[in-house]
Amino acid sequence: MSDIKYFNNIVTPYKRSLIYTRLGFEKTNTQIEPEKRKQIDKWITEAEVLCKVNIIYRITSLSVAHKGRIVLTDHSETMVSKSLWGLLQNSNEVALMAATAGIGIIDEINRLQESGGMTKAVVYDAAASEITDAGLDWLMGFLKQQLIRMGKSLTHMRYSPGYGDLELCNQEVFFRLLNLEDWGVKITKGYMLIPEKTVTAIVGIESPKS
Amino acid sequence: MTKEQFREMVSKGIIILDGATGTLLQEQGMPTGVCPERWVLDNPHSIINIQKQYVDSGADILYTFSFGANELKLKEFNLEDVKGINRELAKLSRQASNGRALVAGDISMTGQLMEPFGMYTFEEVVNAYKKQVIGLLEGGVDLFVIETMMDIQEVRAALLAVKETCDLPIITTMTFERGGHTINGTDPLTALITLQSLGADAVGCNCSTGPKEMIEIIEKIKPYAKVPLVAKPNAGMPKLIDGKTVFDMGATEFIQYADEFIKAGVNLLGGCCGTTPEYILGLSKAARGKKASEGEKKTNDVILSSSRRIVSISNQLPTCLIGERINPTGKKKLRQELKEGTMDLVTEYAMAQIDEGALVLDVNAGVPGIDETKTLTEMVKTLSTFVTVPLCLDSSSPEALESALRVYPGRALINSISAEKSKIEKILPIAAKYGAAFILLPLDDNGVPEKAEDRIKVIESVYKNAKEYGYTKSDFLVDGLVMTAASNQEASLETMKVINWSNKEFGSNTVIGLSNISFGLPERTWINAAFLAMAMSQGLSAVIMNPASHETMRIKRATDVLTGKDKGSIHYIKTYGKKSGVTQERQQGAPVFNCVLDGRRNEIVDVVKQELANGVLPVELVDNHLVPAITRVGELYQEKTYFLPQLIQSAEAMEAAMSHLAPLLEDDKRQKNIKGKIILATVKGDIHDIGKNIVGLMLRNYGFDVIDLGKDVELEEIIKTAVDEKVDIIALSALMTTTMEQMQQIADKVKAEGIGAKILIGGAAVDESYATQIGAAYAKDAYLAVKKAEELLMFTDS
Repeated sequence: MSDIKYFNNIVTPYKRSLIYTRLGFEKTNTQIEPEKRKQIDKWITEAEVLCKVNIIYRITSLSVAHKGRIVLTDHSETMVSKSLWGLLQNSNEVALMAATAGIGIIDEINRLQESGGMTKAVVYDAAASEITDAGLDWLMGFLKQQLIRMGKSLTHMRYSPGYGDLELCNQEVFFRLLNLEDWGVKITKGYMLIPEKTVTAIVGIESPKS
Repeated sequence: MTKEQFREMVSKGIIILDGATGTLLQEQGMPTGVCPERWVLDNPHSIINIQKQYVDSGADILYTFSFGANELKLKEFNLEDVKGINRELAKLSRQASNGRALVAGDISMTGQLMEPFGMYTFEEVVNAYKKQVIGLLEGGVDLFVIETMMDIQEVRAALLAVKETCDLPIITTMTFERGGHTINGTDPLTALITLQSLGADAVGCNCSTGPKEMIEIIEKIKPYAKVPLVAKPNAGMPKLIDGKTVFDMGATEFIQYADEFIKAGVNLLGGCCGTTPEYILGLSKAARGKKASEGEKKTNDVILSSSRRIVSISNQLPTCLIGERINPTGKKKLRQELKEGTMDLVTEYAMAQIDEGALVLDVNAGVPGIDETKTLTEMVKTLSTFVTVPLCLDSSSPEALESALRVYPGRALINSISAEKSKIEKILPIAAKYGAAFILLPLDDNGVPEKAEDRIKVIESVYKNAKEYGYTKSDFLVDGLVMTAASNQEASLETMKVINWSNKEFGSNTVIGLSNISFGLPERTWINAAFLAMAMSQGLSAVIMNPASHETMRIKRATDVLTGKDKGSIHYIKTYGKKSGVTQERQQGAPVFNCVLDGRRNEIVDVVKQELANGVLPVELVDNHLVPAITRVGELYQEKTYFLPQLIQSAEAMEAAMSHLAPLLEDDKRQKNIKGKIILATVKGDIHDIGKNIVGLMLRNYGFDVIDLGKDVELEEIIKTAVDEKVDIIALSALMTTTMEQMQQIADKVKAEGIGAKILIGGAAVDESYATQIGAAYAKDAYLAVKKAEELLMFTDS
């Protein structure tokens, strides 16, 4: 699996406002005193330090010959999703991606819940989710810049298992092809990834027709 | 070409750069998936033709087609002859230019990140680039261009690779997304400060965006530029139409931006993706003979940078606070940690100081018996990954400073350089090589001059030496040199004279290390604060101090107002101004109510104790203060005036108060307060439980007896507990669609076995319709779970 690439401890370009949104903050309604906001901002920064975001990806060739069936031709793996199939119509390659924030932040969230620090735990949890997701944004930005010179581009959106009609069981394909076990990630019988703050996604690569 | 010749050439007028080659080569048949550089070497006429067209169109500088010809990129195509490939590519461009244009050796990203993010060390990347540089030099390039870079650290590696190999001029351009940052979070001004100080001869941007966005970047950074600025925009944004990448801006529209670029201050202008010789011809016609607008310069500040931001230090700005705490002197724990090679306290001190208002962090690794070079470098690597403020490297070891400066991804401040021979001969050249700013300490090999006039002579002497390395007065801070007042009360006045002279006559910004003044005296805080105010009144620009000293910080902020540095008192008001928020909700004479409302968990127990001491009965505190308060908090949450952290903080405060009051309530009251018994569980297969735990906290606050079975709970355990405990409600949570089916099975089982408990469900995977389908109630969030549980009990009771 030598074509798997990775980046360690990426400082992801997350948006603090999106963490607030996850926590139910509404710009026009919610009122928060500056000191309390400062405290929450501080917790978000602490969560950022605790999140050791590793990003793993590989680019692989693709066939979308059959309606709704996406075949990763190099690996004889198939995923079924009509909507993803539609997205990948102009792609002959895809990037399989994963971002994981590691176990440190999860341990701290659990410790806080057990020790009565629920508010901080909730802020850490929302921050970790956003920071991990932003890891995939970062990777897409990185890939986009690598591809532009070759006249290639990424599809306008990415898909994750469990999104739309791409069933969660496809998590196994990502787990296998990205060797996520090597990154300390486990998969449950219900196709959930552990540590909890681990996300996977697929994005199409579109090439100019020759 | 020498750097001086380059400066002279640019000073004469706008220099035209070439346009895209990759997209044109694709049009000429270069297939996708091949190594473009190898393909060009196999099809040399393709690139020669394109580059000849660019020269004919008026390009003054051609970029060699070696964008991806670095060792790490070529390795992906199993190509090893890095020098040979680059040499031949450079020769092709020379052939195309035929002496009519300069040839710039093109270097770009490796496609990898270096440690701590990726698999390569900084030195491995520098060495990889050096092989490319040598090849391009052998091919006869006139200058270098490092372009389309996304990672500031990678630009630094490439820049050092060129600098350490030859003296040719170097142009650097990074690619900024539409939001104005690279994907790693570096903004254009930070890039400018870092790269111009590291020795780039021109700095700018290329690719990613079209001309309009790039003009804004040039406008923003021009006032701070000490080197020429470069722009190479795309022909708009790429779109894939009918299987072809199309850039949406035609040549006519593109060329119309030339004058705006010149007005914004660009010195070198060309095109990136989607542009063709037609675009460059138009630019050449529009810009030829014109000179870049210079505008107003803001180059008197000392500007430092990290990888993600800059900090300006000036006597016109609020005094810059340099946090002094990351220094093992007198800190046993930190000393021990550094000896063991761990960085937990370093991280903790950094975050705490930033939180208190530090804009720069002083970093010192001076522990006897440890490898200072290794330790300081590790500290810098650790801090650089998460700290956005710039660092001040506090060491007298040239080796430690060089090692740390090499990996620091911004422009650091060195603490310090004096007129001592060892500093001038060893540290000054290192500082200059890496473009670091420095603190100029007015002492020499004879020691500390007592009188200001003698210190001034030393300052002028150091400056004379620094000038030879290209330093100007905006590249260092003059240290007022603080001596302890306990041994010499005249000393503080001598420091004032140095600061005053530096501001009014010499024209350089100043700094002091504060705490030395009070050494040996009691109540040092007051001496420090008074001395700081005195120094600030003389125009002090920066202070090295502990930002956790609240008294000194208050004096600093107040003095910033009184000296007019805090314009409009903005910072002061922001820190100490009237608090906004939901204070109108607070009730007079109801401290327990207010504690819950504000979520003051740490205070509430003491407040409850005080109320009890005042004769308020426990039951009154519960019924008249706690319950109404948490009810009001719930309403505020529903109205979105509060958001989740506020709701939970209030719930936690309520829980703390109830823990204290529960033993004091009479048994019957305790029983009466219990609304019902609820099982709480995340269903089998689901491992997410934070939402469920919030619901549990809220339910307990509202008087429910909660049996929390945890996460990933088997159906049988839930049913058995429901029967054994005779619960009123089974509350279930599921986050994933794959596990929500468990809810149906539990609901069916409850019904089949005639268990009287109601089912309440929640979680991201479920909704009202699913709840209805399985015969359960649904709650969208923790507060609504409480309301729904109350409703379910009312229904049961009736």
